[in-house]
Amino acid sequence: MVCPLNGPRPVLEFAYGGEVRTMPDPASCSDAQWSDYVFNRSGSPAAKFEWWCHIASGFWFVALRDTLNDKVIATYPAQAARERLEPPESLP
Amino acid sequence: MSLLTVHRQADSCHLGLKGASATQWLATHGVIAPTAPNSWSGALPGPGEVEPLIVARLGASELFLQEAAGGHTLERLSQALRNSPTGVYPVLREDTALVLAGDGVHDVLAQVCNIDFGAMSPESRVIVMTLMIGVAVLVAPQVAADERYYRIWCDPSYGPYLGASLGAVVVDCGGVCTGVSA
Amino acid sequence: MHRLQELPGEWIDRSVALKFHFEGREYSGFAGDTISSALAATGLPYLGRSFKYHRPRSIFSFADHDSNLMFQVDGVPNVRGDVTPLREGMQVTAINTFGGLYNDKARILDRFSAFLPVGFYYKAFHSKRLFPRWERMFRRLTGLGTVTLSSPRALTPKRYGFCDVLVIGAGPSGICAAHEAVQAGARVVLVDEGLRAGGSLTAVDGEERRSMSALLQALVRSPRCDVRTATVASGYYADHWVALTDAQRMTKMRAKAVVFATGVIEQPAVFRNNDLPGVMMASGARRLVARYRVAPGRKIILLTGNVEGYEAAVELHAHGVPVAAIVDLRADSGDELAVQACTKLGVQIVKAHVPVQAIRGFDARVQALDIAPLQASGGVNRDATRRLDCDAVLMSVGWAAATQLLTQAGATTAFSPLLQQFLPDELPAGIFAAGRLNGVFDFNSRCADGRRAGGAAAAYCGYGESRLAPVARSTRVPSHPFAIVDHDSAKNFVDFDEDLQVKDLQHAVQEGFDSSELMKRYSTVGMGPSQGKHSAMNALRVLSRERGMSIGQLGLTTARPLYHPVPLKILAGRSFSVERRTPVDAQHAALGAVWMPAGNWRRPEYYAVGGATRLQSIAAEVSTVRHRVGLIDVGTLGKIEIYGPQAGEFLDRVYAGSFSTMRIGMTRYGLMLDEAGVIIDDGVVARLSSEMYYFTTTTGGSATVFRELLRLNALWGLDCQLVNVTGHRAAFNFAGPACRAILQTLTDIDLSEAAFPFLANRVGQIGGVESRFLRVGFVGELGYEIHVPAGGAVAVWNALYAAGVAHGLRVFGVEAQRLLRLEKGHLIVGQDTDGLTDPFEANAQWAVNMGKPFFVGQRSLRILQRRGPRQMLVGLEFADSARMAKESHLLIEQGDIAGRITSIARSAVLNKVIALALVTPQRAAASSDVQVRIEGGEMLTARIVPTPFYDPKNQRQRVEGA
Repeated sequence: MVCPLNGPRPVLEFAYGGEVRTMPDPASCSDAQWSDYVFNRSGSPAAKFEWWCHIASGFWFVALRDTLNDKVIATYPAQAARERLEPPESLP
Repeated sequence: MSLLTVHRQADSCHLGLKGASATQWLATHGVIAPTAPNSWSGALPGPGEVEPLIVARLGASELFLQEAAGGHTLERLSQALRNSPTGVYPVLREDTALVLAGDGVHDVLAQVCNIDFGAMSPESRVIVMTLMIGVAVLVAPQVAADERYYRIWCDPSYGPYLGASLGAVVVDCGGVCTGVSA
Repeated sequence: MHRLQELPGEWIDRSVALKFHFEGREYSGFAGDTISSALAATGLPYLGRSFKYHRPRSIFSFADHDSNLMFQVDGVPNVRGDVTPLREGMQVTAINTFGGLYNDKARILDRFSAFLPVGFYYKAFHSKRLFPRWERMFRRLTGLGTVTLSSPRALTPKRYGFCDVLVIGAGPSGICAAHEAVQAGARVVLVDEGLRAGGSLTAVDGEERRSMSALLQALVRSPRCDVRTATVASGYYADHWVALTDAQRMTKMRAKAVVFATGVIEQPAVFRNNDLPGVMMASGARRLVARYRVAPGRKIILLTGNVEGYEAAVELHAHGVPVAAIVDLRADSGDELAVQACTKLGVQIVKAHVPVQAIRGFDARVQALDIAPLQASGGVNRDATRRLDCDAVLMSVGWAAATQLLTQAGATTAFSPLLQQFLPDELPAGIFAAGRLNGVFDFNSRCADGRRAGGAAAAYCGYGESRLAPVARSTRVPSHPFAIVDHDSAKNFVDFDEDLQVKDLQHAVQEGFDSSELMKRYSTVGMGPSQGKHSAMNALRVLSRERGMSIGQLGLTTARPLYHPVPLKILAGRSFSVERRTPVDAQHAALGAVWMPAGNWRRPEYYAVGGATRLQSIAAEVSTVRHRVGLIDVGTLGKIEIYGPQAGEFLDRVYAGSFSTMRIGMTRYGLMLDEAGVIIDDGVVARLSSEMYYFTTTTGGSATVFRELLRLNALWGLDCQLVNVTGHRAAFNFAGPACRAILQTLTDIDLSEAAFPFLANRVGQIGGVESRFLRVGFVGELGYEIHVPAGGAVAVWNALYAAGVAHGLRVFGVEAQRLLRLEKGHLIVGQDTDGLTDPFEANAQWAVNMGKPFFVGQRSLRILQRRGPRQMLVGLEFADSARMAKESHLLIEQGDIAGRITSIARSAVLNKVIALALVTPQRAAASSDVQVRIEGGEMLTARIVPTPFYDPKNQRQRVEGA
């Protein structure tokens, strides 16, 4: 996996931090919407944006990973998690 | 030919800095930090010699300084930090500092770390943040008189474990250790 | 079997004789022999026993998978005879025998095989009553070698290795691949499990041998190539790291690209008594003859279904071992040139016949082979069976591609009905396949395919270009589609590791275990030491016939790492285990610390002083803290600093309480929740300046909590920075009524109640070390947490200890602290809370500010607040102090579970047994009695009481002086 800070490193130097998900507005969302956000995850394989941390440097970033074949397609600095992420047009 | 050794530098001092103004503030005190992330600057003494000062940039924004006993720069900087300069945050660094040197140094590293240090150019002056037998470490490949040696820093609570484990591997490879128990 | 005359190029050195013992008798072999070849040359009729029926077995494949010829060698179990070099003085015995190889009492099991049907364990073991008897019997009967518990620990350090291109398999295609990659400029590692490179090449002379030798020499001389023989690529893991195991160690080889030239593994024909000593693979016989000069027999029948059988006969003849007859399973082979070559050598050739059974001689070895003609319809005319005398049967009926590692690397395979072999289909990036594995069979094509793959792998790593065109796959059929012959009396073995016959697999299918994976698990086919390398393909063929489905539809079972057995000592390596120590570790040891693990740390559980017992020591430590002064090392707490204009905002978001409004110089308890509102961590937060806070986390949670805080900081992008100083800063709790007066003698800080009240923090000097003082009350007495830089920790600890000892100070450990905090009713996250406990249930709503705009878990708490608690954390007092409940004992009400105890201890200061318990909300009302079931089913009565148990009005914090 290519860490945006430390370059290519073996995957065991990284910790997984879950899928990047958008939190609904706590003030306006319904209880059901909130519960769905807290408890439900999609297990279906796809190219997903995920949080990953380079353990030794404590550096968090976002990786686009195809969970069907465990291939990391691209990595982005953490700011990406605050922006609306769209997978690239053509996935390899 | 030189003897394989792992040595714990018990007498060096460390200082960490964070904050948007840290680099600039250091410069006003006469210390120039490297600009590239994960790199270090400083003089290039031999493994046994006293280096004046090593200044490393960890990631993009954190700075790490090591000065051997006898130097006064860190003392001076620490004094200046008491005035709480804006945008400069001192970071307590009590790292355990180890130096791994001599023939077979890469054999030792290959047993404890999955980074290919042998393929790395020491002239590039990189700092590698990686895991060594389960411990987060900073590694600076250095060279003196055409010989590679490695400075390794870790959180002091892991120091006895890392030192003793490296010591055991070094002794196994025919080397000696000083300052750590193997 | 017997040793042949010397042949140039043989692997043995006849000038060096090696003496060794087998089954207690002395024999002699040569330097260069393997255990199996040396034993074979002795002429012993058989060399091992099978796993289940204890049938005599001998050399079978001689390919590192001879699982019936594993030996106990000098105390080491399950040593593979076919690949382990012979050493002078070796003590070798057969494994899995009762009374020795040639007098094995368990051989009677062979006669009872009808009573040991497939799935026997599942059928026999479901009776609870009989299970212990079965278990005792089978623990004795099963298993292979014997573990010698007195063996010394062998250090086998693992190491990492790095290369551009790893080539697995040093046969012709692998050698050519490595050579091409080296030529392109790549750093190459070439590995082979064989003792020497060369793969399947057994001819001792000729153009093929000479060209390979030249390339290999070039590779060995090249500084860019590392040729490793006797090294098994035993597992493939992420990032192209491949576990290479040799006799000494495991190398974790990280490659940028991998070429798989793993070749094919010869497969047996299946017919009655195909396991008799003397029946073996033709490829194994070729190796045995050419390398070790041991003849498989004097009257040899070669059973074939491919052209390799004829080639083997020609080669064996050239090496001085004539083949008497070739029995070809096929009517029309299309291999006329090869057939003519054999006819010219005087070999009798019988086409279109199948083996019906092998006949066992008095020495337990094969003495004849019964064959019967194939009819045009495909059936076998058993009436026309005839007997051919022989003392060896060589089988050359087909191959299975060694795809196991390749599929671990993520490649898919597809079955080729033409080649009767699984072939690589889709290969992930950086993975290449070449040679017979890739369906390329003749020598020149294998070399060309190797060069193509090696060049492509080097190009993948950035060396040169991938310029060579793909090589056409073989058009001739190397494997017979069904070399399996049924027999009413069975003993036609498919799996030689587990003694499985055709009927066992048929029964598995009939009983419903009719997919590859189910059949494997039920029948255990492929689960022995050779992991299906000789059985998986034939088992699949049987399954395919029974189900009427194609092999491609059924598919092979998954071959997980490790692909080849690896000794545990190699896996263990040096066994590093991470341990953290605080800076005053040596001081603890000198004071008599008894250690306990806490996360990665070692911490004093208590201090053993003057022969006192554990409980006495803990009680004395507790008492000293309550009445005088105690000192504990709390440096294992997570310690974090946060700087920046938005540091307070950040803490407001991650903790349930409010910190941005907290005054400088104050400290507050912080409760950390997850998004579901569940308590995940707690600690104290101290504000040291307007833009700087210092806070602690639990010992166990420090690493994960810090990592999650970094993530939230990256997500929110607030203007603040986090630093983990857990190991860089030591921390001590100095507590007890006398602590203030003692501490005042050591520091310039004004400790008076007015100047430094409860829950305040101060920065100042102690023993010349700048330290942070936090006035907290975890243990329920006047106390100060003193946080000092690690470098000054020993000085401060010694100063506190020296000043305190005069006032009766004792150091105290984790156990005393747990009791002290329990008396005070303080919870421990993860012990008194579980994975569902919210702050309302833990009586910690005082640490929650629901009025804040946002904090992690707040939205869920709104829902939980409306719903009400599912459980409540309450205090319990036990009337009876003679017997004690333990943690996790249950509260019972009318036969139902009404809660459980989370912490319990005997309190000396209160003179009763106290506990915290999570109970149903209905039972949470104070002053009601509950029943607790303890060990043995006895019930104890406890009363629910308010907490804290000790000093409920917190008066101990207001004591001035003392």
